[in-house]
Amino acid sequence: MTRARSSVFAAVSIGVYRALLWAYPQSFRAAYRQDLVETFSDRLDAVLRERGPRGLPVFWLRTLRDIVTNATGARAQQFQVAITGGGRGPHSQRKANLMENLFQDLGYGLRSLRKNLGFAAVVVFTLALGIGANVAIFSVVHAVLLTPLPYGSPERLAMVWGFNPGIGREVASLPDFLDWRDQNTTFAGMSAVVVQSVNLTDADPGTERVRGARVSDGFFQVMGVAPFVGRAPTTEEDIPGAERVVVLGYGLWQRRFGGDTAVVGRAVDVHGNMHVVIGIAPPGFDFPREVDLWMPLALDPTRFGRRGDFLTVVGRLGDGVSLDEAQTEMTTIAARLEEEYPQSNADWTVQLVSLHEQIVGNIRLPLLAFLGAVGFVLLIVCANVANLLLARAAARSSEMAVRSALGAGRSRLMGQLLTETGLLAVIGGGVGLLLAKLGVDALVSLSPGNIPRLEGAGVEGPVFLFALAVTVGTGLLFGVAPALQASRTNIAASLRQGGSRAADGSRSFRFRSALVVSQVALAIVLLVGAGLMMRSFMELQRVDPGFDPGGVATMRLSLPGAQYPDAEAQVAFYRQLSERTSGLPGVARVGLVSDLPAMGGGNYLSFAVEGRPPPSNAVSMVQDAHVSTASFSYFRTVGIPMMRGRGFTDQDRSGAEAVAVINETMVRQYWPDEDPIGQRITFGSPQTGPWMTVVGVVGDIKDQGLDSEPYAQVYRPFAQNGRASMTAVVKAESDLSALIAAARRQVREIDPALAVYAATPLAELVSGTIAQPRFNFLLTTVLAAAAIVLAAVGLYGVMSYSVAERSGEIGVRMALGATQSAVLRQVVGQGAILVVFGGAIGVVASVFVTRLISTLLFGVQPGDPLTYFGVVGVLAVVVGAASYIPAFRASRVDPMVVLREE
Amino acid sequence: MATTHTGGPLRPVEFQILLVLADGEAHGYSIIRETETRTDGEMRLEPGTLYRALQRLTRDGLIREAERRPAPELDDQRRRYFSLTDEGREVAAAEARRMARLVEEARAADLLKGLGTR
Repeated sequence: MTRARSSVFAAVSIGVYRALLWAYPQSFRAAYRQDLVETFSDRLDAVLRERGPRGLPVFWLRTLRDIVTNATGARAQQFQVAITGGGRGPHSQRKANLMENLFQDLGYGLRSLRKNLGFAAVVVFTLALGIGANVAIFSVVHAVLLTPLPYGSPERLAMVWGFNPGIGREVASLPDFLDWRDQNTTFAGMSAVVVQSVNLTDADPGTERVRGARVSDGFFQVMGVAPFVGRAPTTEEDIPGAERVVVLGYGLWQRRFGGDTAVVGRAVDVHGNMHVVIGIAPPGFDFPREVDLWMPLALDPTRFGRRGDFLTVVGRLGDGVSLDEAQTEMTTIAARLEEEYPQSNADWTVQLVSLHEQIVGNIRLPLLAFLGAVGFVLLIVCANVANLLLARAAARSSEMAVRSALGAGRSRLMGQLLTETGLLAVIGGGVGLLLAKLGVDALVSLSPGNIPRLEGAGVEGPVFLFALAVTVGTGLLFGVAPALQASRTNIAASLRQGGSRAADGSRSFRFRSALVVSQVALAIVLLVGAGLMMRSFMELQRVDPGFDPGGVATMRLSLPGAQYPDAEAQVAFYRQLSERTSGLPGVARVGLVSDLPAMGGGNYLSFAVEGRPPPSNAVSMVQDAHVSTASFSYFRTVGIPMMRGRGFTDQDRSGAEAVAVINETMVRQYWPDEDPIGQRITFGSPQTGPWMTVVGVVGDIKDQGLDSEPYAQVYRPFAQNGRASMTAVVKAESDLSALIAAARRQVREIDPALAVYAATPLAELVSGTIAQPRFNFLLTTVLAAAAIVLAAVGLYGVMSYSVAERSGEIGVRMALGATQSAVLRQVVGQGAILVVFGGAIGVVASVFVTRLISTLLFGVQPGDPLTYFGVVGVLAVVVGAASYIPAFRASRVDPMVVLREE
Repeated sequence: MATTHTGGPLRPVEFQILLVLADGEAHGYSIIRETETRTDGEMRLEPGTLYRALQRLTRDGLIREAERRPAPELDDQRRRYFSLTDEGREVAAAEARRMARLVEEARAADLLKGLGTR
């Protein structure tokens, strides 16, 4: 694939190089073109071979420098030859003239820009910002959305979800998966995956916590990847009791085993059991995300029920089969299962989602919104630069008039001006590329970490071409109008006026005003977008999570089954850990829980209430709850309030009556008019139980993230429900990082083979769940700020120009008795008209544009009046200032001075 | 306009090309690679610079397009090979002598201390 891509780059590069060779004089080209192209492509091959596409930018910069220097040199030389008598055939006269003009123009342009260094710097910097921002965002879009997934024929991969209208997408149970896999004809293969954190133990450097995936037979074939070294698991190895084998991830292999292939064939300890390493996954293989090793699923289907959903299913469509065709077949299969197993499968169907959509689906909208926003900023930049150029064109009208009087045709003048703007665009684009490089690095490091494949973002290959296209497009956009305008100079009038003012200023002023209006409108849209993001973020921060994460450290542990085979051993270990940790200095309370609040995920089970008929299968009656396991001190440790009844106590131990604590939402839903205390529920069969008695009610928490609604929740006491994976929560007065270090030591003292992972303050975890909105808000705010500043600069330019132009008129009016404040009012009023006009357009546009991003918002409507008022306020202040300065200057005009000048 | 070389120091690029060609015929890309190796990567010729220098050297009669081609199995039909003329060899030698004299003078002025003496 790399080769194919490289050859595309090579073909494009050679084509571009051929075109650029026109810069050389005809004679040189005739003699050496073929050799130049050959040599260029040899060097290109070498670069692509050694560095791949990422070598292209530097290579092209060097090549461009080479062409510019040598083409100019060769032309200068030729010019000399021509003067000193070397003749030239007439056939190439016309083309040569054109090229000579271009080089004259380039030289002239460079000189005139050097004379106006300030002007050139402002234009280049503005352009660089606009182009750089666009290239940076595009490179992210390219890496995340446009680059194909690194699997064989990735377009044929699809996720296979269970779907229930009342619940949504759901992972699959083992029996369902097996039926899907065995009954379909549209998939070439289907594999089930479950991710599981495991302890990896090896002599050196001790135990490490890694993410592992258990995968069913044929997983690697389905994904279309072959192991880098060794082999994939066989069908026989996917049977319970088969020899345990493992495929290591490339990263883990490099990091932990030093990239030594001798590890293949060796046995390593994964979660207390020896596994033979049979292969290494290829570099870049990252499915499921961030998994370090893969092991066969090897489960016995008879031990799993149809609603024990825990498997993520991925399938490879057969050759030539469309997603729709497969969906139709899977729907039929699901309907058949529904008929066959109404108890478990009623209302359950299957939903297919292409793997690409699955991975980037959530991030597509924000990324495209950002791309739209930077596009707006670039438009504003173009308008600004066009504005600056127009002002400059006005100032240069006498120069243009003189040149035109001396015989320069309009096309020649336009050519000259376009060359100058082209020069500005190219320099701006070059600087922009550098800024983009910095910008991408900044984006990658600031991003909330939930953007898949972001690490692939960079300024290379297609992104480079995009930058080129943006630069050219920008140059045309901001260059053509001013060039047209300037080359239309009225010679006589300009010369008569001595060139201080443009003769046809009114038309120019109208055009520039139109630019300001559009700038203001664009800026408003961006400001409204940023304002809504900011409000969403603030709303999220204001959300009461239902618990208090302050001063709480968390520490996740998982006990290997070999050493801790049953609940008793697990409970004993965690009890010891709690006791020891409670003794640490500064520790107020220690609790245990199976899944932390607000982190999403968790285990959902359907339940029955004693004495009530089992829930019907109607959609609205899906009766399930989020089930967590907690120790008796958990609620107090994280500050979940006890509303009714009691929490767990020391008495709720194995052998005693099974109890449960539920949340208020569950009470509202299932016992709206009764006392829930003393009621009995079961996750098992309504006939046989086992039953649990509700002993208490706790407050709701935002369990699925701060932007979610609370769901029915059941807590079971840890002492009655031992499990291997628990998270210790420690409330302390002391410094949390020191506390975590001390707690880690406690763990190691109890069992040196255990690995603690994810030891983080709870507050940090909670704020991590709103990292994406924070990122959205920060990025859009930066862009909106840039937009409003640019719009203000544009307005300032137009107003200054207009004031300077009309200083004569203002002088006369002041001589005739107009007061300073009247002048001030008039000028500010003139600016205000533009702003009101642009603002109105912007507000109307915002109403439509913000609807597109409504799903990114929280707690605020796209039409939020507060945001709109705020934006208009900001706009009024900024542009007020921008037009006040020129107005103030106008009001200080000394009538005498002006009138003398006239 | 095949004038003879008018003397004066050669440009560094030109001297490097002459040095490469002193070993035998070569085409453009091999000259680029050869100079790069010779100068430890300090002189990296771009195609434009190379062919303009080759144009000047041809015009001045220091090099010419090779008539003999390398052995057929080594030959690349698309490419143009260059070789040193007798005059080119003389000029390169003169330039080398001039440089050697410069080095002598530098040594006499104690500028090359620690770089080893004869």
